[in-house]
Amino acid sequence: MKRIWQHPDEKTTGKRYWRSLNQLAERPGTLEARVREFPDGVEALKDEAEAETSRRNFIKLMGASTALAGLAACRRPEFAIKPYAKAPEWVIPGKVLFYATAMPRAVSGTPMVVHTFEGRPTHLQGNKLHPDSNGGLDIQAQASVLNLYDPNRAQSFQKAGVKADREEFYKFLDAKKAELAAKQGGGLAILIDEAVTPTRQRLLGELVKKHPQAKIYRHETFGQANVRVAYATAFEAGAAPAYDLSKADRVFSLDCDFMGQDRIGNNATGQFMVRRKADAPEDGPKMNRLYVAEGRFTVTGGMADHRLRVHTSQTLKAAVRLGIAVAELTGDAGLKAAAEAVKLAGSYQGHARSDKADFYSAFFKEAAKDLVEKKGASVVLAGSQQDAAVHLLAIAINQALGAFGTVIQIRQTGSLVAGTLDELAASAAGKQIDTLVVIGETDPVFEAPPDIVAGGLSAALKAVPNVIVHTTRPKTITAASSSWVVPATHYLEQWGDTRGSEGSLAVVQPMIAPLYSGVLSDVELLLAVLSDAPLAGQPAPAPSGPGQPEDTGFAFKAVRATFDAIVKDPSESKWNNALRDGFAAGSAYPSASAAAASMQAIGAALAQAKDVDIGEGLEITFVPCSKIHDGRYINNGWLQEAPDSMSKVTWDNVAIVSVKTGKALGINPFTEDSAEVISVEVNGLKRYYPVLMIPGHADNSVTIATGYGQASAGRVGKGTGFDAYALRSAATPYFAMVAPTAVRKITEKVSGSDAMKGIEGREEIPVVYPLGRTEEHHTMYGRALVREGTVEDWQKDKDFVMQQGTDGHLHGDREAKNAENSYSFYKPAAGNDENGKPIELLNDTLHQWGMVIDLNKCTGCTACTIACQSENNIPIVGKDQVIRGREMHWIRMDRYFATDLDSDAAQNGRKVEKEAWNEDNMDEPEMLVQPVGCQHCEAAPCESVCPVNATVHTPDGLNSMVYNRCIGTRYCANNCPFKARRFNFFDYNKRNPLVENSFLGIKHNSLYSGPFGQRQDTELSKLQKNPNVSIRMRGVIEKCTYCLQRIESARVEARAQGRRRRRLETGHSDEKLVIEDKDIRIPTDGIKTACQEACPAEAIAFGNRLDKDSAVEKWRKNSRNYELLGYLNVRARTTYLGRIKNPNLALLALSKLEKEKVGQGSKTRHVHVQTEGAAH
Amino acid sequence: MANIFPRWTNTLPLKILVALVFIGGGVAAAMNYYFTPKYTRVGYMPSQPIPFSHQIHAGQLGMDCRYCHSHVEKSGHANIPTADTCYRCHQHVKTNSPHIAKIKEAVETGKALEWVKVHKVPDYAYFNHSVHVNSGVSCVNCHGKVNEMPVVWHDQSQSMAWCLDCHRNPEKALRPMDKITNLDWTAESAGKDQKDLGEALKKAWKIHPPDNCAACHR
Repeated sequence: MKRIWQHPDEKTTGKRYWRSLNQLAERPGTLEARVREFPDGVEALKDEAEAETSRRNFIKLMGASTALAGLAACRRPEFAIKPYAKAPEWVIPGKVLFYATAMPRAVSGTPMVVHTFEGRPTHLQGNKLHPDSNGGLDIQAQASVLNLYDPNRAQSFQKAGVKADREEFYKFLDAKKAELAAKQGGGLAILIDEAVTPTRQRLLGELVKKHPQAKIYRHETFGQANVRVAYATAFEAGAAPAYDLSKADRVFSLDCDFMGQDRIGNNATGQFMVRRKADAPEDGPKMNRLYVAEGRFTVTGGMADHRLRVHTSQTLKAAVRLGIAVAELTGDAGLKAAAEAVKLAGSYQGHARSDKADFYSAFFKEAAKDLVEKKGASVVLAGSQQDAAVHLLAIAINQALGAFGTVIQIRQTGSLVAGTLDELAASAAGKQIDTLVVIGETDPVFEAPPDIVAGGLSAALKAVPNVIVHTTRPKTITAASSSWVVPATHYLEQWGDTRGSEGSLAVVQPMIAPLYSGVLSDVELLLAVLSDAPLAGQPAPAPSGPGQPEDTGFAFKAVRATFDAIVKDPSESKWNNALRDGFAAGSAYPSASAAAASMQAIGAALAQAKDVDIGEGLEITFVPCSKIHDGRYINNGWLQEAPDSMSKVTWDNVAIVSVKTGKALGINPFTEDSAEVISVEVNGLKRYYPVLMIPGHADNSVTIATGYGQASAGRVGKGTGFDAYALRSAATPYFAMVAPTAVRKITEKVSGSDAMKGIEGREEIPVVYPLGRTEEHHTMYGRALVREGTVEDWQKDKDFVMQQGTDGHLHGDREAKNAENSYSFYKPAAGNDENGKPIELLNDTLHQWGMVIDLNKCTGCTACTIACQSENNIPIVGKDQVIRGREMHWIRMDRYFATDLDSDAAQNGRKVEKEAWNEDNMDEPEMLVQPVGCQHCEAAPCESVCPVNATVHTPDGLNSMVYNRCIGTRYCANNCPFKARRFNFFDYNKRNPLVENSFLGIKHNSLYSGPFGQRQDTELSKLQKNPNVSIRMRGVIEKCTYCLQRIESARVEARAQGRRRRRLETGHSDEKLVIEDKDIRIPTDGIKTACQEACPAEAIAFGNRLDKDSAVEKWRKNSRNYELLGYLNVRARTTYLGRIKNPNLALLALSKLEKEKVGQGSKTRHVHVQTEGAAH
Repeated sequence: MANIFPRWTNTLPLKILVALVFIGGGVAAAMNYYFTPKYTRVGYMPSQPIPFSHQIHAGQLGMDCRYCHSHVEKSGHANIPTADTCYRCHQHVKTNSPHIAKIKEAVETGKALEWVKVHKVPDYAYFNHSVHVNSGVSCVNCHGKVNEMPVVWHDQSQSMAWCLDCHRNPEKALRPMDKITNLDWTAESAGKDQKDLGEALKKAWKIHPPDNCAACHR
């Protein structure tokens, strides 16, 4: 008898978890669309014409390919083995070789360990040994290995846009240097980015000594300029903070996305999460507490225990309020005077709350009380895009809170006297510059506000006779208008150095000789400028790659000299240790000589602070993109396709508004794979952006991520996104204040606007712009799987997670629920033994793998998704395929908003009608994230439906995928309750999904041209591939393997080396040699999966379930542990630890809305929705 | 009306049927024989850029396999020796040979010698040498008596069925660990029965060769 399984409704506990506005409104048709995991290909075709030609093409191409395939199969292909002529040191063919290096970048260089296969860097991980790293990486650092293999990277010198060679450049440089020497460097300007690079800094110092008239400028749009100014004012020039958030009990963030794009160090997330570790309910109160005041929703805001919406432009007022509140409690007169010195423009009361009129001021009072209570262990962080005044206030408050010396150390980073971009623009326009050298990954002309100088920076630079741009991106606007482009090395192919936020020196050593001959590193270029000897006609220096004698490269010598200058008692062995460990011990920055901030100086500076009134106006804020940052990663396919943490948009940037503002603008909230377009007019310039409503955003505020919309971005970044830099102004670079009428929805398509002039691949902007948005992809019948509570809930009921979701529907305690869940039709077995008895499926007695993900730590940064992509050779599919729901990421990051069930009109049932759709409730949602990959169910539903046994179980508990058996029925994906399986609709690895082809005048994606489509630049992209993972072909399913290649390598290693070791130890090589289990078992926690390794929050544990000491077994004993859809009894090997919030009870008591917002169980009334058809 | 088809056509269907059975059977038999690795691979003996003789080096001179294939105990790959490895001896030995000149050139220029691959495991199969040679499986089990080969040929079929045969019955192949690279050694030559010896070693060394897909395919 066929039994229809009725999934029980979730037990509703007063809160609604939802992933998209469509889902919340339960619009007709959307559930149906969600259920269809793979939108059908033909139906998804855009119009009739496309459908027609595709079918015709298909038949034609099928014929051709069959004929070709027949011919190709006849001959035995011959392969060559090319051994090294001389064996390079350490390289064992077929084994991964790890090298320590670092990525130079602003604030703090990121120490790394690079996986190399026969000299090819393929994958990056953080360097745990370095004091400023916990071994995790952020999304951009993780993806930066792909930039090495970017086919659009600068490969040769260019003189005024024409290919030139190094010799020509050197001739020019020799002549120029003679001129410079005569003028003491007059007219020479060097513009650098903010990357922390001691050797570069040292050489610039030497340059200024040699040419006293030369000028140094520094620019990075989302850099630390304001922080530097504030710390120089309050302490001394060159002073910088180094944070240790693991020492903070209370953290207050003033628009500081320190877990996201506003880096304050490599390990900020890790240190914060040390204090989110919660093994048992007793640990709850020991957790830290995070307050966030911000305008847009960030990942940091998502982690907040209390989040207050404050307009970005009004953060100064918030800081003043907090300062005064702290001063009143601590009696700190200096702080009070400083805070009151600020001349505020207008009064700002934040967002009104229906139940508590003065919630805004009360929030600061309660938060201040909480901070002061934990004096010495509380800290205020200010966002780097905030004005120096906000930083000064934060310094003053931190001083009053006693944060300096405990949570924050003030370090002396050494002051480099450098001008700003504004000053450079003025000098350039004033014709004071003859030669400008631009070093770094920024694109100053693109990024600079148009009013930086009359006519803009590009006009100003036209007055500079020689502009030399040293870059890896040869087509930036800056490079395009330059007289010389000097191709730069990627950091994985150069000698260099960088320092962590606390100063520990990390040496950047080359992993590979430069892929393109003739490229120069920044150090090499500066050395060329500095050298007295003529360069032209000299033999090129040997590339300083691995396998080359180190001292032949002249950059090497310079880096070594810096090392000797920084490290105490330098020696050869210390240098070798630094290369091996990735950092030099004892090289932290010295403490600043000013021990305390000068309140007087702060007060004086604050009296000059400029404040802006928002009044009835609208603010436009410009923020770094969570993927491509300031635009430097625009040609990185992994980052482009990574869904934004909040909007889940890929391949584009969007304007984000709150639901209320969106409604006021007349935006349709229920768009799926598209968004309506608004025009934004600032200072007479009009730009267009697709707009999305994100609940929890400040009202009357539009947030636009920058970096997109580049004129010539390369093959990946071409035609993606919309530029926002053009709307900025030099006075307030991170926000613009406009009248509400300056933002409008467009009603007809725009073409020929100057907003698109010169931008490749962007001819017109339609009224409704298609967006590759993964928000609704792979949803699970609208079920929310995330579970959460507060510390209070956990202490009240340690198994509170079992009261939620589908488990909440069952009766009794955890054991009773588990027993009820353990009913199964399916008795998995691995066949029969000789006696006809079934063999137990999971019969490996050494290893049984499992994973636990702690939702208390996961921020949703998606670094795991990228790490997985890098490790497992996962292709990108392009925007067109993402729209069709075909993204290949093995880990998807589900982002849920949680709103209160009572007020979202659900009192009259669960339905929220479109008309009655209540945007009031969208103001203060909570945000929760949950990474979901294959759960490796022991009783896997996918396995039982595969007609060809292509997905089967291994004895050690993995649900494995046999690509060669797979015939592409996709039954498994349909039967997967977690929607964790991905199908290769095309040969994404072989074909280029980023090209439009035209056939008979009809445009279509190159993928649809079959064998006539464009091939990938395979030679280059092949170099990045992990040789231990199969490249999947068209027509097969793939999914998370728990990094099977790492497990197998470890297992082979344990067995081979265990037996070998025992043999050498005992001297027996026959049956007298007895091998025990312990000899061949993989050591406890000896394997890390790529996602686990990458996670900066250390939210993932992976290990052997048969090993009681393994982290995974310890985590599973946590009472927050739960299985997704436990009632299905699929016995998932991946489980989750429910999220715990640590709210301030005083704030909860203050406002009903706040109480509803924070934590599920904090509601007193539990709404029981009667379930029908639940089959238990 | 005259018959359109002559009388002999009556048996035509039967004849066609019989012919088809024979042709089909023949094709099936031919495919079964010629299209399997046993036929397509075994005996494959490409000529190499340098006529290196294992017979001389490993056989007559008695050099250990691991002298040249130095990483076989540590890595998945049994590496082909670098030109430098050859040249260490051959800078003194047989220096006049034009083939040694090729090695000299490779060492001096750093340009790799291109040896022709004999044993080709498909891309989706991940074979690991180290775990086999450290678990009592000899080189000879998969590569044949290379010490008697003047030119290396493909000795075993190395098909998946062949792999699995040994993975399911490892006792057929196991030998003491100090006899791994002794290609002339057999259990019989040591006065033992291979099956008994294999069973004993399998038990003592906890040899459980995996036969699930994920062991080799990933």
